[in-house]
Formats: sequence, structure tokens, C-alpha cells
Amino acid sequence: MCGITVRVGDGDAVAELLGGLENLEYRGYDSAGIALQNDVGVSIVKREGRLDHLREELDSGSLHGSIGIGHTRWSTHGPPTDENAHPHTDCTGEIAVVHNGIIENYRELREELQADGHVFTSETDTEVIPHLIESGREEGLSPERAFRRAVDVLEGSYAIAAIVDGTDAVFATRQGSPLVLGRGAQKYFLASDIPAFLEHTDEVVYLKDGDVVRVETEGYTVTNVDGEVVTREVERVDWSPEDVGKAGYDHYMLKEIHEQPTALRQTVRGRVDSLSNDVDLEAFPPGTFSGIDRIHLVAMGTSTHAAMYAESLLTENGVDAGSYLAGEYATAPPPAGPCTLVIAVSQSGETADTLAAVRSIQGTDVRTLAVTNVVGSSLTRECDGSVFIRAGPEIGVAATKTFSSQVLTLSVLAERLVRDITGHSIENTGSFFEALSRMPGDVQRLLDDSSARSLAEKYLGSDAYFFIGRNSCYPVALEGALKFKEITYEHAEGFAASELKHGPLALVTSETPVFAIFSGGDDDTKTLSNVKEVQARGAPVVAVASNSSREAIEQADDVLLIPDTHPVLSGVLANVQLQLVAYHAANELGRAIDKPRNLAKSVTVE
Amino acid sequence: MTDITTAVVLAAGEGARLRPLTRYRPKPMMAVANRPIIEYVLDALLAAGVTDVVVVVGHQRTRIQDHLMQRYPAVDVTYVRQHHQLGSGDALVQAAESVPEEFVVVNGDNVIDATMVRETIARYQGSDVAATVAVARSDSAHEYGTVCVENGRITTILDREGGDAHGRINVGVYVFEDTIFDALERTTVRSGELSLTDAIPYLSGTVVPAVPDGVWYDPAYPWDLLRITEQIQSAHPELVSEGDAFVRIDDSARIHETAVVEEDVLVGPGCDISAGAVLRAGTCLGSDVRIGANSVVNRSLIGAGTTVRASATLCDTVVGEEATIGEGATAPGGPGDFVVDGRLHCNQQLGSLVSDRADVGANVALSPGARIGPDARVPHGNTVGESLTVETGVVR
Repeated sequence: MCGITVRVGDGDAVAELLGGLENLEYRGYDSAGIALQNDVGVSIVKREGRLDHLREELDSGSLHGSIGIGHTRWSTHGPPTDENAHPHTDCTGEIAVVHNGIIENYRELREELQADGHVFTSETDTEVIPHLIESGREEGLSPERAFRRAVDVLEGSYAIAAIVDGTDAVFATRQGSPLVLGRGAQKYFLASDIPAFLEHTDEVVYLKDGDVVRVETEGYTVTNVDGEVVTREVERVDWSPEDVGKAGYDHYMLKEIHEQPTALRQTVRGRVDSLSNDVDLEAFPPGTFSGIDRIHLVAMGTSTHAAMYAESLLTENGVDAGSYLAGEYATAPPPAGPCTLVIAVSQSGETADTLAAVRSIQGTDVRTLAVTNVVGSSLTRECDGSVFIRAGPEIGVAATKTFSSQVLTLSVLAERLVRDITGHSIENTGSFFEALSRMPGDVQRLLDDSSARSLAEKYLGSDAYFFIGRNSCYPVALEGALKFKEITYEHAEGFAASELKHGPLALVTSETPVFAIFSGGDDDTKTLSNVKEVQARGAPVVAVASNSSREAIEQADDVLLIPDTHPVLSGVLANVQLQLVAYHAANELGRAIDKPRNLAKSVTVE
Repeated sequence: MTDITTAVVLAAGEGARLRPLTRYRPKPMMAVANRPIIEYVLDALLAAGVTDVVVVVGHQRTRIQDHLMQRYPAVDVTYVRQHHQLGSGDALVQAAESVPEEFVVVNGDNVIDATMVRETIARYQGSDVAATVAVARSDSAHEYGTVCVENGRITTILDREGGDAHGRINVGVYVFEDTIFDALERTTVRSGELSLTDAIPYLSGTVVPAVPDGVWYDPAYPWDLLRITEQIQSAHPELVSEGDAFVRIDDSARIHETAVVEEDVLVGPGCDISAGAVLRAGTCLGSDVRIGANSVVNRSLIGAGTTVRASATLCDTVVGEEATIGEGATAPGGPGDFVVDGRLHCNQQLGSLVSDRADVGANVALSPGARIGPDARVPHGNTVGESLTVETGVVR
């Protein structure tokens, strides 16, 4: 997981490259570097650590050039050091390359190149690329042909950009890793993600796998795998750069938590009609899913918890559904056939494990459906259909609003699936639809009244934090724990409430607060028994519950109150409280909330 | 002369005279003609050439931040926080580090147009003065305080209670130099508040009035929200236009073919209007409002996310956000009598007031003058009498 930026055009590139890297820092931040094409050849500056280190180095103003490539790295091969930072060069220092992804056959290539006398200076897989280009140049190939030949021998997933001394152009390609082109006034950009150049242009070209693009100040040319010149449509993105500003909040995460009422309104708008109890998914009219008898939900991380949520809703209503970690699904896929629908859930639509799961069934007659936030992402191009969660850009590495939007999108989709497959509606349709429509307001109410901050402060310094729930509140327990560990670095685990006494109970002491999530439904009674079990071991219990779980509220040591809603949707609200608990605990501990250590926003390596 | 491109928007106050509507949303977020007041302010500033906006936030500040980031994503907005509501002068002090030498200051809770800003800036730039204060002639100077002008210079601005009923009033649009911060330091705090207007006499240079020929409305009381909505729709439709087009009914709203929507009705995005519903003149529905079958809504403002169930009747009513009006509930029109700030306001054209998230049960009858507080729950079949305020909580 890394981020690439490229800038070609009039004027100096340094500031715009750095700005682009800053906007991509969420993709990784072990080290960063840039390479520039200028009068004296190819100049490179790279530094281990945060982007600030690189910025300090460049502040001297010594480096200039109108064509440049930049990189922010999240280590996969070799530790984060100056040497392992990108860009990497060939033996002569005339060719510089940045790369996102993994070159799977780099060992063989490296050995071959070393045998030919090439000298390597880093431990990265990337370094083979400039040396491959170099050997093509030695044979007299033009820079573009040398680049293309180098790319032809690479195996794996990658997005690559290269500059070659003496040529006023950048060569780039993608295969399984994201790369988009931005068309500005008298300048062009390439990047792993749109926010990198959004402040300069909203005109975007999505490159396809295998495309090679040559970008010059005068324009760009895209050629496909066969070397034929092709036209890729220029699209306009409707995000603006300030969509990714902090709007007066201290962290993107808190801003994004507060954006949930708006995001959820966009998610359900036009899709849910609570007056006539109907759903409207334009691309999927009634009957779309007739004939499906089994659903596999594949996802990773937070998206997995949204997938589990949908699984619980679907199975409860008579649909055979199972959720899988996409990484596991890809290596050991369960049986699937023409009546199976695979729903791939990924915020970015670029999650490598999830793409691998989808690819593992490509070429079979299994139908695939993407549920994602990003229009034009790889997942949408590889699945048969797409449903967008419409949450808007999310920058904080810890997913917040996109989880809520995923759950609501999947809930609307579930109603369509349940009707098409079973012929019935989701149980209690009326109140379910009403609750869906009210969800944005309920989240706002919760945000206005939450006591999560004082509660987080109260339990700071505990040995560990446990989260329990059952049914649809089980994925919320997992998500609550994930959020907590991601940004506080404290030990946090989520369990199915029923599982507690089968092992985890051994960890419970008076120093391990337990967050118990109540749906307000029939299963509350059992979760209440589990609460008493942990209280008997001295653990303080925080009930996350609405006023309809009165017994739970009376039994618990502390309460995070959620508005009354349909039991199936209580988990969405409970999760918002747990987001706030994690945020305030991490803030109190002074953690890098938006960029937690070792983590990246969308994980584009398997 | 350099252009003035920075403005401070004072948006930290609650707007106590609009209570209980303001529990969760500060006055700048109250909607008139279906737009929060602060949107008119931002539009006016941007059209007058302001590029950098500093918003002083306080009461329920995240509501303002959340809204502006969504509505004005491309505008450079800096937020500064006033932790305690200690007056307009104290609010401006919070912005001291965020402004250049010369800047505009506007109230974030009054409706203005670009002319107000432009002409106030022009008056400032046309002469060598320390500050310019926009004033207007008004019949309600006792509400706002009189601006005393001698020889074309402002000497003092009197308190609300002081001065004549007829006179020049301060409409809350100013141009200052950064010397205002020194003046504010020398200004006496009165009744716990540091007032911006109190600092005027302490400015070392001349302070002159501007008399811009623009739009200015202060929706001070709940009934003003209805009145000003009508005035904007009839006299200044350009203020609620999207680009060139005047959008009455948002494209994403779904209206049943048998529903009746009269002229001068605004319907926001995502609304659902069921069969047989009637929306009469002067009605505004915020985003995602649901109107049930055969309900009649007449000259009423309904906030975002609110559900009005079947066969309800609302007239001259202001309903907040995310509220529920039950089946067959009725709220007949004004005039109603309301007590605000200990003063009785008789015969106001407002029937009743339902705050954010209130739940008015089926067949509840609201009498003129009834006020339902935020989160309040009125069980079905009850009658809420005249001038009765139902506070937060459950009425049994």
C-alpha cells in the first residue's frame, strides 16, 4: 500500500507533488520521496518517516523541475529506510521509478539483472523496474519501448511511473493497482487516488489494467496492452478539494463521525419510501435476483463487519447467506454456482483481498455485485453490477461513516434480495422502513447528546477493553473493538456474547471494562445474563442500549444511550457511540488518530 | 487600495428569542424560505468578493460546521470557537489571529444580500475612516438600539431600550481595521458581556455609517420565520434561486400525482408527498420531509427529516427537524399569543411551534400559541392548550 503522484506541465512541480503526497498520506507513511527532471538530469530526494521529513529537506528550495514523480510508502518489502524509500533508480541514476503494489517475480528478475552486472542498492521489489528499463536502453530501445518491455516481464499487481533523463515525459502503467490521470490547465497529473490532484483539476481519466500512458506538457497518449493508441473517456468528479478538509474539527475521523447524518441521508435518499414501504434501487428492479438461492458476502476489515450485519439480516429473513473474509475466500473458496450471488463490500473498491476473491470466481457463472463508495473503482469494473454507498470521501484511516452507509445500503439491498428470493418482505417491514428513514436523524440525536467522551476518559488506563453482542450486534462488537484497537493501540477484543464463557471470560477482571450492545429485541435477555457473568468477575459493564432495554440499563455500571429504533438497526446507532468512545480515548492518549501506526486506508496488497 | 476579501461571521450565539427551536440548532441554522440563515450570509459575502471566511462558532457549533462543509465545499472557511457566550465583541476577539488588517464583520443570524456588504465596503474605501457600520431606518429601533450620528460620524450606539422607536439602527454589517481589537481591550464589560458596538467610541479614527440599499431581515422571533419566508419569496426570489433557475420543487422530491402543491411552496430534496396531500401557499418543506396521505399543510415551515402522517392539518405552524406529527393531528392557524423573554407578544401570525425531534401523537390538537419543546412526546388524543409550553420530556 503506497501512493503515487506525478506532475507534468508548466511551472515548478515540487509544491504540487508534495501537496499530492500529503493528500495521499493516508495510503501509507513510512517514507516518502520525489524525483524531478531538470537541467542537470534526474534529481532525487527521499526520506524515511513522515512526509514532514521530506518537506524539511526540500524547504531549502534547491530542487526544481517541471516534471516530477513522488511516492509515499507503506512497507511491504524491506523496512522503512532512506534506501528503501522510492523513487528507485537504475545504475546510472538516469532512470527513476515509483511503484505501488507488489512485483511477485522480482527475485528472479533481480538475479538475472545482477548476473548482467546491475548493482542494487535497496531491498525492494521495485528496484528491478529501473534496471529493466536501463537494460532496454542499453540495447538501443527508445525510453517508451524500454518502459513497455520492462512492464511486459513483470508479474504481480502494480501501478508504476517512471522518468528517463533527457526525455520530457513520464511513462506510467497500471495492472491491478489504482492509477488515475488528472487533466488540468497546462498540466497533467497521475496519482493512486483522486484527492492527490483534486485541488488542481476535477477532470479525471480512469486508466484500465495494461494501459501505458505517456504524459508530456503538451498532452498525453494512452496505449493499450497491444500497443494500440486508445481513447479513455475524461470524466468529471463531483468531489471538491474542501470535501477533504477538516471543517473546524481536530481530526478527519471526528469530522467523518459527524458527517454521518448527511452521509446516511444521501445513502437512503430515493431508495427508501417509508410511506409505501418500498425500496427503489434503480439498476436493480424487482425480480433482478430471482433464481438466486445463496449469497456470499466477501470483504475485509470494517467492511467485513458490515457484511456480517447483512448476513444476519438476510438469514433472519430466510435467505441462505454467509459472510467471508475475502482473503480466505480467495484462497479457499466455498462451493458456488449459477444460483450464487457474491456481494463484494469494499469502501475504496481497491481492496486487493476483496478483488482477489472476486477474481477467484471470474470466468464461472457466479454473479457478482460490488458495494462500494468509489465510482469507477476496480471492484466496480470487475463485478457484474454495483451499488454505491454514497458516503462521500473518507480520509481517516479508521472507517466510520462508510460503515454506517454500508450497513444501510446493504439493508436496502437486503429487502430487494429477500423479496426476490423468498417472495416475502423483511419482517415488520413498516417499522423497518420507518427506522431506515429515521436513521440520519437518530444519529444526529445521538451525536448531540453523547456522553462517550466522559466515559472514554473514565475507563482510560484499563488493562483491556471487551465488546460483546449477539445477532446483528455481534458484528458491531467486533467493529467497536476494531475501531478501539486501531486508533488507541490498546488491547480490545470483540466477542459474540454467547462465546464469552467458552474462553474469553478468563481474561475478564475488574480492570477490563466490557461494552455490551443491546438491540432492544428478544435476544437482550440472553445478553443480559452474559453481562451478569462478567459483573460477577468484577468487570464494569457499559451498556450500549436504548431506553427500551430498561433492564440492561438498570443492570449496567454505565450507559451509552442510543435512540429507540427497530432492533435490527440498533447496532448502527450503538456503533456510532463506540466510534466516539474510541475517538475520545485515542485523543486523550494523544494518538495519531487519522494515521494510526502501521495502518493504511485502503489495503491494495494481499 | 487593496480589496477587502476577508470576513468574520459571528455565529456563536443561540438566538434565545427563538427558543425552544434553538436547543439543537443555533439561530444561524434556522431556515427561512427553506435555507438556513447563514447561507444567505455566505452567499452575500461571496458575491461581494469575499474569499476568506472566518466563522466564530459556539452554541451547537458542529451543526454550522457540518452544514457549511457540505453546502460550501469550495469556500475557504476557518472556524474559531467562542467557548462562552460573552457578547459580540468577545466573539470577534476570538478571530483576531485569523484576520488581515482590514476585514468585514457580519452577523451570521440575519438575512442579508450582497448589496449590504458591497456598499458597506465601498463606503469604507471611499474615505479615510477607522470603521464603517451599516445602518437602516427602522420603526422598531427599540428592539435594536439607535445609532447616534453627528456630522456624518457615528458617536455611539445605544442599547436596545435606549433611543427612540424611529431611527437608524445597526444591522450588523461592519468594516473594521485591526485597531478594533485594541478598542475592544479598552471597552468595559457590561452585564458579563463585551459588546462590539460598545467598542465603537474607543476607536481612534472616524466611524461612519453606510446606508446600503439592500436586503436585511432579522428573524428574531418564531413568527418572523414565517413572515420573512413570505417576504423573501415575494420580494426577493433571487435569494432562494439556484444559479439562474428558481427551484421550487427539488428534482429528487417525489410527489404523488393526486397531491396538490400550490404556488409559493418550496419542497426540498428527498421529500415524499403522498396521495391527496395539499401543500398551500407559504409552506416550505426542508429536505427528506414526508407528508402522509390527505394531510393539509398551510403556510407552515417543516424542518428536515420530519414526518407528517396521514390526515394531519397544520396551519401557520413551525415544525423543527426530525419531528413526527401523528395521524389526524391538528394545529389550527394563528393569531397566537406567546411569552418570550418575559414579554407577552399578542396576536402573532403563528399557530403553534413544534421543536426538533418532538413526537406529536395521533389526533393531538394543538391550540394557537402552543409550544412543544425538543424531544417532547405528546401522547395521542391530547389537547395542548393556548400559550402552553410543553418542555422536554413526556406529557402524561
